[in-house]
Amino acid sequence: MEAMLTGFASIAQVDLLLVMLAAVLLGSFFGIVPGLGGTVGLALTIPFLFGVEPIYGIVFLVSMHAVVHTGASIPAILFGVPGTSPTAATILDGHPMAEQGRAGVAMGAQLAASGIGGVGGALALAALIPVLTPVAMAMNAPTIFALIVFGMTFIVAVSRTSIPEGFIAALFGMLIAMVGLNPHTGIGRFTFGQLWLWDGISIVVVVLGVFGFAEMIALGARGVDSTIAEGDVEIEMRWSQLWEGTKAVFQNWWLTLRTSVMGAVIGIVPGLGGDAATWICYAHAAQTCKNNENFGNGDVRGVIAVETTNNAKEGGALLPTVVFGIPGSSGMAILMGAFLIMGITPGPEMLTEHLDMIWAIVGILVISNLLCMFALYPLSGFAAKLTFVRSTYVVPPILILMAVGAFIVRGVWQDVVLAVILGFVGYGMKKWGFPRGPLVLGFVLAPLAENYLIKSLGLYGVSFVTQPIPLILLFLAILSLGYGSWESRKGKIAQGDE
Amino acid sequence: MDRGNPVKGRLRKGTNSMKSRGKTILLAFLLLIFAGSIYMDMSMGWSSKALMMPLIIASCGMAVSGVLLGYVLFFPEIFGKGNGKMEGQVISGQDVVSEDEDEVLMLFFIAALTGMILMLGFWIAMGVGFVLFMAVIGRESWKVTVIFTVMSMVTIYMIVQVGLGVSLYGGMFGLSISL
Repeated sequence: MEAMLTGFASIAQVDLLLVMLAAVLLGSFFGIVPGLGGTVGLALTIPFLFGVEPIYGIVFLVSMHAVVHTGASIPAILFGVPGTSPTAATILDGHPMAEQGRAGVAMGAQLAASGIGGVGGALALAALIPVLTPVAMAMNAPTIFALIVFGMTFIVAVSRTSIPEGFIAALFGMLIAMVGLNPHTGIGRFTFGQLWLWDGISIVVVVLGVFGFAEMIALGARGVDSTIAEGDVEIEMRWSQLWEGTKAVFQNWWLTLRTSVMGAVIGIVPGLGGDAATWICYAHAAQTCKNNENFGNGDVRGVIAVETTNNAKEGGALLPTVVFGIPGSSGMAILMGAFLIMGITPGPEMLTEHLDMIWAIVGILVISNLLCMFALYPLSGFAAKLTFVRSTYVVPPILILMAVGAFIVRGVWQDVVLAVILGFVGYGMKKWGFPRGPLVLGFVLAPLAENYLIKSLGLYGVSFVTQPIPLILLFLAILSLGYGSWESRKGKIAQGDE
Repeated sequence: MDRGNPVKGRLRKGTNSMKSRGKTILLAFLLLIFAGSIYMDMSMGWSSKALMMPLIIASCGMAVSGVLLGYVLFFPEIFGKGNGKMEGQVISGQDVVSEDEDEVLMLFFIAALTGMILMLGFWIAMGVGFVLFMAVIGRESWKVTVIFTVMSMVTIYMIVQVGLGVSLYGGMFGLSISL
């Protein structure tokens, strides 16, 4: 209790709040520009933080990193261009809402869900530290592999009524994830002798191509006079839309709470990654919500599920980084490096000697998420109006920004070409009824699955599947697959009846 | 210029045969990729650890896409139900299908823009691309086009080159421009 009060008191200063505000705005900017994201943001700002007091540095970096996805969802909703890879899942329902002239509702829901998700994730993290820490650390390779296989069954939920197409898309995503050097053997797979393919294909390139470029092709293909918002929609975006979206988050409080906790818990598992978390929680929402037939076509609950997860998982991901010195992602690895530069050594002693620091981080997460929510509200109202701007003003700058985003990930021009090719494929998928969500889900989960499968086989042989927890998870995976297929069939029959 | 509802009137129903043809092409393309990767898996002499996952994925992909392609080719009526809609594009029960000409134009524009980026670099491609899309394809006035192009380029320059310190690709001919 004393550590909690000390931690909160250490950040309750006006100058630190101003630092947080600056970090929140910068973090949102890094999110909005496609291809930048939290990792690039951290890498770029760390050099400027040499020599500053540790508390200022930590406040700045944690605040900035916590809200990147809040900003990243703005282009995802408005243009179908994900600012960061985890926000690709926001497009599934957010962008159709913008096309229906309900961008304001999606933005309101996004901001409120992000803010509440971030706060909920931080609080869930605080509450679950003593319970989840031993559980997360006791997870062995077979358990994580089974968990990933369980996550893969959500392809069915994301595919909705096009399950075979969804599976093909997922397998295509998995296949392109295999490009590059195999971490276990050092063998270059599908690299065709090209050095730039040794590191594999960046997820930024994949989501920019499959979603971003594809959406811009679709917008341009509708004609130069077209706008993102289609059909009989009102040109004037009312501010009441923002309020309507915000209200939806509170009306769906149980979903908000569930996905916040799920996001924080998934974030804690090292190596599972934030990209997987959003898809898993989206699929969970699509499977469990009542009247779910509109998921994928502009259901506000799809936006809420993804956005709460997106911000909640950041809190979860901080736990293994700070408490055990195990960064779960490249962003967390950079953050850990920054902590070391500032003289704070992440590790188990944080729980004993610097518990106040952990509580301070929880406080920073809460405040920065709330600050970001309120700071972006006024901007969102105006940004939503961009959906009514003619495509001649929207397509060229967005295309160029995406090309720049694809280029700066690794500084190779081939990534631009790859993003464009994937854009053509993504457009074909969009046009001919192939769901694109499973492609990204497969791309994210396949390398993890391979890694843990090889580890499991190496440690226990094929008998690893008979271990109790993996066995239960694999059984749940089969159940989830069966239930999802049954739900999909039911949906198809209902669609046929209409 | 009436910009009240420019999209209205441009929506039209797609036919199942068109969608079926597109789906066939995409499925054939994916089938080819899966089959090609199986061939690569088997012919490269990779160790079992490196081979296992790609082989499983490609085999499953080939099987599922092969079966689906067979269905599309021989039982096209099955895909008339529930499978024909464009993802995320349902508006008032109408399916949105692109105008063919605009679609081809857009695909060519993106291919040309990519080609220009590769040959001439980002900055020249950016300028030419903006003018091409706005003034030539979009029929905007030259004054608006020039102002918008300059403003956009300066903004991108400020973000990328000044803010992030990243030098954009100068093209195969090395025509990098520093504004």
